[in-house]
Amino acid sequence: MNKKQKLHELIEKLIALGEDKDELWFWQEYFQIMKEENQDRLLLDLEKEVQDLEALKK
Amino acid sequence: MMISAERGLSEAGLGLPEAEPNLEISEAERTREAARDLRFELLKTDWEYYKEKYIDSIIPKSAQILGSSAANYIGPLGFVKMNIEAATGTTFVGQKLTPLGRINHVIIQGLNAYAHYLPFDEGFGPAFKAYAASWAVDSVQYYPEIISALSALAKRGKMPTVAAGLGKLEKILDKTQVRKLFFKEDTLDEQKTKIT
Repeated sequence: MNKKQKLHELIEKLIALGEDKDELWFWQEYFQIMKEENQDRLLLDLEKEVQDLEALKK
Repeated sequence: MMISAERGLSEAGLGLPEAEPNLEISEAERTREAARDLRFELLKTDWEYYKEKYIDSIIPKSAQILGSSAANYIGPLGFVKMNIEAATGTTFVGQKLTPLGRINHVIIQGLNAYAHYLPFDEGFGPAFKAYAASWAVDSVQYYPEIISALSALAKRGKMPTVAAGLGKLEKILDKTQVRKLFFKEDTLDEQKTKIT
């Protein structure tokens, strides 16, 4: 799975978990012009948020 | 349609006592806020890169200060003001920004910074576009407030035709609900009251 697909998947999960979709829409667009290292950081941060929110649901 | 016994009782005012505040929801909101703050810091470092690389190294500080005539638009004063607002999530007049509103503040300043760098070696074409883009992004966020203020002034100044024209424009902007993208709803009504 490439980075863009990964981002898309994480964003879909976060919207389902109640995240602000306007903000996430921004990140989806902005991702394309981000510095490479920041792209990786963003993916990690989003992944952690998904995990944290899913853990709260259990 | 099936109606549960519990809902039926509740609608008749005979239901169970009100549930205590859902702690799980507030914990989830705290988690989201913390994650947004992290992303926000990430965005700042991305824009800082452009600022440090192009602005601080090229434009002498004194020239930056002299150029800071409009607080929200140009120079370090506007840059600091808007970034403080973005970091705190509240504007200097007390409007609470949504996550997108905070992001927008950083972008406006980033585009301005970019526009100021460009004339030095790329001509005014790209600089003008970047500057125009920063104004456009700024206007989308702040135009409704500016129009409201002008409309109120026109009414006070006994200029009914101008006030009516501005009022129409204000209604169109209200309909698009563009404000809700950038400002939290509870502060919008307060702001409107202050202006009118």
